[in-house]
Amino acid sequence: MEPHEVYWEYINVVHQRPLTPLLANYSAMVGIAGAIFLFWGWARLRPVESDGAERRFALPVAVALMIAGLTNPILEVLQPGRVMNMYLFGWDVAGSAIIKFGVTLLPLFALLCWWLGAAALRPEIEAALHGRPAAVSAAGDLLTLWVRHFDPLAASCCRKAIISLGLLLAVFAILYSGVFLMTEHGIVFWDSAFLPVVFFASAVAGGAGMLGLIVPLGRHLTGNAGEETASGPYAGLLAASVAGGALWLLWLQFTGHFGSVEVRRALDLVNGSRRGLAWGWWFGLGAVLPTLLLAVSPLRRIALFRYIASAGAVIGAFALRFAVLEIGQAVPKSGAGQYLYAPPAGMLSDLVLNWVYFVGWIALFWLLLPYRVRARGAATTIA
Amino acid sequence: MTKADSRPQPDTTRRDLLRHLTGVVAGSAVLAAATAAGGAPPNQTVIAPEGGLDFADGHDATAWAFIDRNGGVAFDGSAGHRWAMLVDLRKCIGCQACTVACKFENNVPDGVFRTLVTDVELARYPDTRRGFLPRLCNHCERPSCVEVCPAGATWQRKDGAVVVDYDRCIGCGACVDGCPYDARFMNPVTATADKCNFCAQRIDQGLLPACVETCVGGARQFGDLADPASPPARALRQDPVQVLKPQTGNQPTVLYIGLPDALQNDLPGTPVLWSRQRIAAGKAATDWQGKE
Repeated sequence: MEPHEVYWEYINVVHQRPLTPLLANYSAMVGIAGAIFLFWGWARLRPVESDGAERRFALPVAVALMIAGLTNPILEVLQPGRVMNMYLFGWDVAGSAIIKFGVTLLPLFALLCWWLGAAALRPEIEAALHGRPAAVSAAGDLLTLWVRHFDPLAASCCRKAIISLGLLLAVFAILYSGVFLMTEHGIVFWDSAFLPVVFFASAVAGGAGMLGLIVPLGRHLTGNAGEETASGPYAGLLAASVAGGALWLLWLQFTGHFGSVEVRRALDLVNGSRRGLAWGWWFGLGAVLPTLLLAVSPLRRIALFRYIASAGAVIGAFALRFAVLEIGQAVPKSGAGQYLYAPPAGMLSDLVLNWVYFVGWIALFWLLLPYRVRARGAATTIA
Repeated sequence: MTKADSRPQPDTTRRDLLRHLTGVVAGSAVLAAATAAGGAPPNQTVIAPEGGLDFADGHDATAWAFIDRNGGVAFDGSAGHRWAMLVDLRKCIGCQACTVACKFENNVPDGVFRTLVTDVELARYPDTRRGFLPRLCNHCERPSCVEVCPAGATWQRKDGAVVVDYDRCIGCGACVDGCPYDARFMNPVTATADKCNFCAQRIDQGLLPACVETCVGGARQFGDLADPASPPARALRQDPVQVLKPQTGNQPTVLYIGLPDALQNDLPGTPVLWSRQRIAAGKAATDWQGKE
């Protein structure tokens, strides 16, 4: 029987799939946070001085993304009160359950981001806490993880080791959700090594895009607009956009040739009813548009186009994950038919609120951290 | 000899019968009392759903009493056995008695199923024929659902049954997507993953799974692969036995006889939201309303 032959099912049940758009949100946020650290850490390891604003603003954004991102799975699981079970049980089969490693390493990565982010602001923190009451100084030290007393970026003994550890954790954060979906053996569309690679490229593009948006904004809001000339992470954004788009095409081409009937049904959705999400929001806005705007030199020089390219990459990173998640789960495992996916009640508002939540954390960090102190005092950039 | 004496005399008088019946009843009562006083055998729990007949409270109370990770037969299963189910599709008539029996035995909520008989029409007119495919958890030798569980809430017992601890499951759904057979689902009452457990609460007491017990055509048979005389082991030797989706590498222990190619791997239909057939039939992508 031909795989695409129509036939009839009189009785069949396709159980509702459990993963929601919150997982796509989680994946995008954590991946973008990891990519931000990649740019930040790589710049710190290079001998040449780089954008000082990126050095100081990037990691608090990554921390905000991690905090907001990690709330998504807590919202998504049906028994959030038992999340602690992930830390306590199940290590006997943890070999391929990447969640076991994620629940440990991702908070560690967020903590490391915060520590190094505070260390990047050490001169300002010292100036802000100087002469303050002991209680305020102690609270400040606690909040900034004692970077006044031990600066990991200044310690010659372990600076590179700490940043390298951060880079490894960043790669893990970027790859994490892609590998998680890849190991979901029951969804054949996800069961491909292309998936985490495409996720990686889009997350790097999204991270560069986030930096391209947040750093100029932060510099403007904190009164340091004229402080430094930002070259921005646009070269990385361009390269990642090209790589993401090319890998996406390669994945579809490969899986279309060698995939099973279930995969071909998924491709029907990619090219059919979900084409707006897959080809429009992800491929068009997230990969092609940034490539065009940043590859053409006259366009790249215009700041507005750079911001549009950055925003496109961030939106594209989310759209890719949403498309892959939805399309993979829409193909039933036990018979014909497709879902007409309808997000659970309140899920879309949860998505929007989660990004508002992320913005709120950035606002809180920018209020708490002494970004303005150095502008009033020292004028030099400290590497 | 009188006429009355000439009638055949019964071997047992009414009085004797009453005396015997009284003895049987009294003996049964004594035995029951002795059993109750001695308690259940080690590592077995007497089934007593605490929730009574109330659906929400009583949901799966029988399985709940058994399936936890506190050790004993519920955790380990019966060492030395390897339970398997044989489904002979030549005998299945699609009556759904197994579906109903499972619902009753395990209090499975509406809209979700631990087992179900898929009913399809195969091939094209005028060569069409009905096909029935009883589906349940395949209790795989290499269960991909166990590998992705982050909470240790599902595991494979020594007798091969893959079970779930509802008190430990966090409801993340990883196992539901990890299963290639759509055998797992999120239980709307317990808000945890759920699936067929081979009626572990029954087999641990020497009973058959409810679906096997009730199968009117004898299409479902249950047994121990380690026992050469059991129906699944015998079928493995004598019949062309197949499993669903062998390419997944999960190595199911639910075995089928007479499984059509069309049902073994990916079911062949394509009533998708967008397809060449739908375009050819002049149907828009947006008028799709579920399965056809």
